[in-house]
Amino acid sequence: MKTIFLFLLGVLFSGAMNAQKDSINKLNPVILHTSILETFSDTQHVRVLGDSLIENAEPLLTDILKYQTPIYFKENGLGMVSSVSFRGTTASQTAVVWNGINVNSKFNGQTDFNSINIGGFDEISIRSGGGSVLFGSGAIGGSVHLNNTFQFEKGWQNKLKFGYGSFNSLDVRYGLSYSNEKTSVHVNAARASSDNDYPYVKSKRENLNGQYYNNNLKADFAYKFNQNNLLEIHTSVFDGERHFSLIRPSETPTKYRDFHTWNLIAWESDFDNFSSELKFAYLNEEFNYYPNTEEESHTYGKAETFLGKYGLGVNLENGMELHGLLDYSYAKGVGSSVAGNSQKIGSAAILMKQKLSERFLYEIGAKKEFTQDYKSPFLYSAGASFEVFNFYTLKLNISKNYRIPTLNDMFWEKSGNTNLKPETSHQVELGNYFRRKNVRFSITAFFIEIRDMIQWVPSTAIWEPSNVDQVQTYGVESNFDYHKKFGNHRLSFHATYSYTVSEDKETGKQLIYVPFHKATTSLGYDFKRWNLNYNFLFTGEVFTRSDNDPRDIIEKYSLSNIQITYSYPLKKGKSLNIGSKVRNLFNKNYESVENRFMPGINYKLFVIFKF
Amino acid sequence: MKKIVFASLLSVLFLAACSDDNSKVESDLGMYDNGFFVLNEGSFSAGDGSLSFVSNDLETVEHEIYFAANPTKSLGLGSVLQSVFFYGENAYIISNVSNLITVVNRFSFEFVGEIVGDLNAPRYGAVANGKAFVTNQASWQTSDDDFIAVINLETLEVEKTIQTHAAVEYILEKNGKLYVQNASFSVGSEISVINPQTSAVEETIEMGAALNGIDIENNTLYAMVSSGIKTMDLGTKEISNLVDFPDDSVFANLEVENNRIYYTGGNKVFSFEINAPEIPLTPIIEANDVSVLYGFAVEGTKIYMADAGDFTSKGHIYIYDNSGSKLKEFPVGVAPNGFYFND
Repeated sequence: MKTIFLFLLGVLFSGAMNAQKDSINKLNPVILHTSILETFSDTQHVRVLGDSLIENAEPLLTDILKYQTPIYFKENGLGMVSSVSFRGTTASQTAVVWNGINVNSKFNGQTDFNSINIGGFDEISIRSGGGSVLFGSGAIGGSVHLNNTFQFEKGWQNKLKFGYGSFNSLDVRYGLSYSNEKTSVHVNAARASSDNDYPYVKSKRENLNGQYYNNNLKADFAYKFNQNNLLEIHTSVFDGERHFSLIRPSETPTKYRDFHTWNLIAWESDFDNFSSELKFAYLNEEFNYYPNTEEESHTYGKAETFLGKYGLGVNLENGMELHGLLDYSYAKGVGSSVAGNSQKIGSAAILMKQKLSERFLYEIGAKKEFTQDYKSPFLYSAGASFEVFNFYTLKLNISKNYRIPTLNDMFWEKSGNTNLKPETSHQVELGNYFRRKNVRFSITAFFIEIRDMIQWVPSTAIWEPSNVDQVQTYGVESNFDYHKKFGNHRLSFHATYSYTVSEDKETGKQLIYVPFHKATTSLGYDFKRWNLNYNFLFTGEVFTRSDNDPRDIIEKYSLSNIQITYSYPLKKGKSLNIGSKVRNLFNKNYESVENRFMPGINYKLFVIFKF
Repeated sequence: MKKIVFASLLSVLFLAACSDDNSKVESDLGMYDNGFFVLNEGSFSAGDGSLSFVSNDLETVEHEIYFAANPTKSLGLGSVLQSVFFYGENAYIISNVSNLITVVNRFSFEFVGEIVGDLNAPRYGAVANGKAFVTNQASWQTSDDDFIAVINLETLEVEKTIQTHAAVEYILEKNGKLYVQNASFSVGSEISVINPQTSAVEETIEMGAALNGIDIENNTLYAMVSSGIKTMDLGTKEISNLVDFPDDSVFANLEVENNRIYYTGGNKVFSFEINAPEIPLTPIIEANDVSVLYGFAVEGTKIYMADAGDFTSKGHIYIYDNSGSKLKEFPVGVAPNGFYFND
């Protein structure tokens, strides 16, 4: 199987080479690589969080998404393990995609959103709904895309952020970039750390053993051979350590270290009506769990993934775009409880989009995997976008998506199950998009049916994974956006609201830790050199027991953060922003997991210096 | 038909009302005399372990009795409640993850004190020579660091520790000696005999591979190992085979009560007379309601089974008589794992 794929890759690759030689002297208008994400998301909602939002946000990925999107996080205390739930799905049903590469853990299929430092990303895109045809396993509830983009002819640029706040919390990011006509380099170093020993609100207790730090180095490099050929190299190295906070001082303190490197080399060519993209990636993840911080003994896991991808796209006369994607990945992992094992997966996908008129387009995708590790389903997606009026567009999307069994699921000592099927989902969504001059509003209704959920269930003496539950989730997701400028004043407002029912089909009960309601608003106001920002978050109550006992809930909570920034006047091309932030302004006592209280009012000062 | 239903409903209501009245008549000792406790382990690391109380007539059940008796103790009893032991007026509730033993009055359930410090993943306890001996597994990656904490019950402090250099689990007191199972999670094969006066391990006795349960009745220690059930005379230390299990059988939860042996396989309960030791072919109970048998006890003629279900919602207990008829069932707390009789 592997050889066939490598062969196919080779054929396509050499084809691309030849085609590229022919076109090397033709001066096509440069469309510097539009990603699959941009090209094939016309019938779903994508929210892009840009540079300035990222630089102002707290350094761990959970925080920015919690305040800006409908995504819900279950956090075991500030900075602790953070499990995502997107559209009511489980933590392994959201794909995290770094520059086009799915980076969810090979061990548990999830990403801990507090183990990603956002410093140095240029944009974070949140794509709601199914996307397994494009982004692979886990893209059921949606996908979160961490992207680096390139600029050219900008010369040297430095960006330094230094933030310091309550509980000895540090947020430092330094980015250095250089670009000329052909080359673009961007290096970013980030560190986030905190003693995290906050007192609980209205209590004599404090957060014990919650300290953490992480260091992250990102480097991105691009070289334009000519108008048609671009080489990209991306690397991210992350090293973090978190102590896990205690409920009682008598508990044994534990800690967790994680380390990952993500590496990607991509070559993109545009010629005539063709575009091609060849990517190789190497991912490495490693964790060490110390059940007692006083002792050296620990458990561990290490996995490596080698990945090759080739995509070829063509623009046809009739407004049609066709893309073929080939993909091969080899992942191997070993750990204290997982004997050395591997997964080998090849896949082929075809994507098509056609703009039939200025107002109507449709897109279709299909994907099939080839692997002996599990029985892989045929995946598809289809969508249409119709601009009914100038101010109103209707979008429909249906898809089938999946989440594959992980190394833990398959090979955990004594209980791993190599006969697991992937979790599969069928889903449909209908989006209504309104736009006026300064206003955008969308409301999307979705329905997802998930089968063969892989659950670890107790059997005689041990817990074993098996394809048991069926879940359906449905609800609405809404985004509102408003911008207005008048004189020296600028106003921006963004709000989200989601209503999510996520129920076990057998019992009819809502899944635990999925709130029915979540809302966020973010209000920005600029006046001359001053900027004021107000963020609000509402999270509805969640059940903590699968029988939905109304006594066992996490109470709803509303939080407010406020930030004021002043921009000092500097020479052109330079800027210095000084800001202060007050989080949990009204000192609310809240928790997102039982007995794991979050901090009350806390403060942060920061400078962002660009030179 | 309707009439009969109505009449029976009426009588049920009447009986319930009567029994309610009965239960209000507290014994002199307190609310929780004449009944048994169900220990609910709680969700992992959520600090929400609890106890339920069921009266001996099986008519009333109360949940979260620690909070009921101690409303200001909002931190509760800790994470992963492992076991309970009694001594005098007190009950000692062991939290495995919180390294904590909470002491309450066993009849009123009012807080008496707590034992913290020098415990590390405590499991089971027994009292001898006026001191509590509590097994501690420490790191779960090795049994080399397992120990027994000797606790002064006046000061509620750990006075000394006994290093066992072997796994420790159940601990039983009989005639002034302590018997410790040096095996946990089916790894280990020995019993240690400890002299509580000197805290010395007097003797270590090989019982057989995969030792998973011990019980003492009369002057005999019964031990379940993977090959069968063995007996050890506490006087002579002589070991003999009581029964041999068929190959590949997986049994657990050894209990000895009134000259009968009880044990479980999945959700089935087997039993035979000690005087007529023979592996029964058919179970006395086949508890189909029980999805995950997580706690088991036999007391007098009643058999108690606890079902932990999915571990993220209320578990259930089922009470049978020894002929295999179900007497009663109750929902309890999360992950019920044991029964403790308070008479």
